[in-house]
Amino acid sequence: MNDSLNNLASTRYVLKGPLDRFRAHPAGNVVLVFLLVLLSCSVVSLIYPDNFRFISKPNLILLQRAIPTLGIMSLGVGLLMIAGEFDLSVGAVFGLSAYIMAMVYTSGMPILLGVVAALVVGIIVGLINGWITTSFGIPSFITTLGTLFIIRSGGRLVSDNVPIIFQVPDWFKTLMTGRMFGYLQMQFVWFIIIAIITWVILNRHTLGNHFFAVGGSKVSSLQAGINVKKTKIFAFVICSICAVIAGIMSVIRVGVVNTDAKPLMELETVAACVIGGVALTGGRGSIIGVAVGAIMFHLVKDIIILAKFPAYYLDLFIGLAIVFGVTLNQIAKKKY
Amino acid sequence: MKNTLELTDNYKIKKSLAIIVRLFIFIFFFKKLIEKLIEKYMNKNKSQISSESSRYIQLTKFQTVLRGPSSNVAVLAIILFIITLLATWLYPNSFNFYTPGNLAVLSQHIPIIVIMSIGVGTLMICGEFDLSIAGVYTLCPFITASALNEMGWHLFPSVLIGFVVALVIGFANGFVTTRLKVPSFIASLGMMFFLKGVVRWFSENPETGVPGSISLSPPEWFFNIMAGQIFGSFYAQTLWCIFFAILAYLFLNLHTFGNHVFATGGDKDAAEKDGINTSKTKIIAFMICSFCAAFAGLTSSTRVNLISPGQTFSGLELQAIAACVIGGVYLFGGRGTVLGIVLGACLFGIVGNLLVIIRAPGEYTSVFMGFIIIFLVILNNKLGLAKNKKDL
Repeated sequence: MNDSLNNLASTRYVLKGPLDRFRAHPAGNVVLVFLLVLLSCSVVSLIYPDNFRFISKPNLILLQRAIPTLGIMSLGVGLLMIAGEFDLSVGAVFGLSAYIMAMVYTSGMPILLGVVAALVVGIIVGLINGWITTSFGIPSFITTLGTLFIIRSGGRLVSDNVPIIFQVPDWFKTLMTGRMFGYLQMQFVWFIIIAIITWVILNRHTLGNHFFAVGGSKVSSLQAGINVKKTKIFAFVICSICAVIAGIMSVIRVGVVNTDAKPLMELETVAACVIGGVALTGGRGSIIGVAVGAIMFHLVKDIIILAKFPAYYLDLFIGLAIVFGVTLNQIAKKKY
Repeated sequence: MKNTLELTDNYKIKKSLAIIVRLFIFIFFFKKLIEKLIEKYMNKNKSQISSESSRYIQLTKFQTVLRGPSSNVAVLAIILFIITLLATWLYPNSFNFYTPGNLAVLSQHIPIIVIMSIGVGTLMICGEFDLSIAGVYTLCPFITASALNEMGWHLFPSVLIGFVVALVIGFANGFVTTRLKVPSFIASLGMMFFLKGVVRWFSENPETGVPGSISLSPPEWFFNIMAGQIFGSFYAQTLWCIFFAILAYLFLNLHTFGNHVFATGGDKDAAEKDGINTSKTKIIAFMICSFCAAFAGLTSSTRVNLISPGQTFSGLELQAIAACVIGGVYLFGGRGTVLGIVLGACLFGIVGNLLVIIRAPGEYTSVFMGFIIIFLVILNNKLGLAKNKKDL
């Protein structure tokens, strides 16, 4: 034990240069890859402005619209994964919350009340997930698998598979999905705001410290006097709230809600987090990494579409990118 | 008139659900009571042994069965059996569970999820996950079908190539997991996306670019072997399912490989120090899992004669994991039985069927299964043999 600790210390603190130190950060690799991809895309699109329209207004706006849905959800899931738990029910919460907001709004209530109702439902789901996981000591994978089944089909029961069509007030629409300065989409601004909030929680607040501690080692954090149950329940609630916000944001622009959430949404968020350097077992990760992981997910899709590859390349490449990214992270973890 | 009918239906559903819940509570309470009585009785007789250390109490055979991984799901299955018998007795006209038609539907539908769950369960006992089985379930029959019907291959090589592809996928999953040290959850998640892409690639119509389904029309003897009617409401799938279950039982309990699987899942380091090649064991378990998924896919598509690319989205992987977990397989490996897996998977199919029979909306199935998952895992944890679990 002592030997391995010494080894760890020696390899850890003799990092050769700034690049090594950068790559030792959990998000180092993905940020590096992201910058490389961004740079090469920009260069290619400057050379062939007609064939590869990466730097064009429509494409940039499209990207800004597409990223936040997955991105905001991944931020919540990332926090939860750092605290050492999973949430598979985010996909279902994503679908249900938007439906509840639309239901409350179309019954004549003000829109803000609808948002509050959706948030309340999200918080309740998070509390239930956290309560069952922590007080019965069953793996969160199973708890949230159960709540995934319950919420997804519960949503269908509520909705009778009939979509709601609605128009939110203009001020709310511009607040959530409007455009700033011609180039900046409000969804993306919200994504950045939420990323900053989660960053503050994780890195500048005691709660974040507790998240890392609980995810890293439950026993030692218990011995250090951290309320593990409370911390984990907090993480579950934050995760559900993020899913609710993403759900609301995704339906406002289109104005049609269906509780049939996109399948595999929950697995995509986990994939984005893991690409971003969050350890599957908890205790290691960063907000920048999660955000960049979610952005990479859509960047790959965007590049494939822009380069006019056949559509099936999308899933092929995402599958390869997940395995490749995680392998890279594993190597980095072993090396540094 | 219609309104009142709906009301009574709703009332029936609610009442039956309430009865089921009460039965659950009663029987599980009863089970615990029996256990406690036995413990008391044991302590009177062998007080010296138990006072030495509470940890190594000799359990009677009955107690071991009661605390075994598959006991809770077995109790649940018995309850379900009693409920169906009661309901058939009370409402012989409207409750059509034990009719030839319904049993035929069940015996065609359930084996598919059972066969898949057996593979997934073996892998989960080994301590790994596979999320890519829905892709294998679609892709391998797809390859078989296109080789057989579009390229005009002979039946035998076209079936073979489907299974070879499945084994290769399993090997790739295992290789990435064991050699590259990627957690299997992520490795198979990547494989799932990859297979989704491959299925889309194969199924795309070259002219329109829209993915379409493909038909599989094998010779009649092959159809009879895979999905033919044997007698009454007894179909070939059921036989295959029983065959797979027995094979899995023999492999896991009477063969060295099974021993290695349990050891690898229970404690990988200890297994390695005992000289078990854990990487090899895991890769073989991955290959078994993929093979089972491919076989299930081939059986179901032989019956329907159609393979649609949309099957990759069907959430089969989570269903199979849920079935295993209900059946008492420990999520982190090292604990589980074939009987439990089979019963868990059967429960999935039967509960859905029951809810269709009492004309509940289809969504109730998932809601009910969600509750059962959480409830049974809590029970498995509380009443399980392994009191000192890994730090969850």
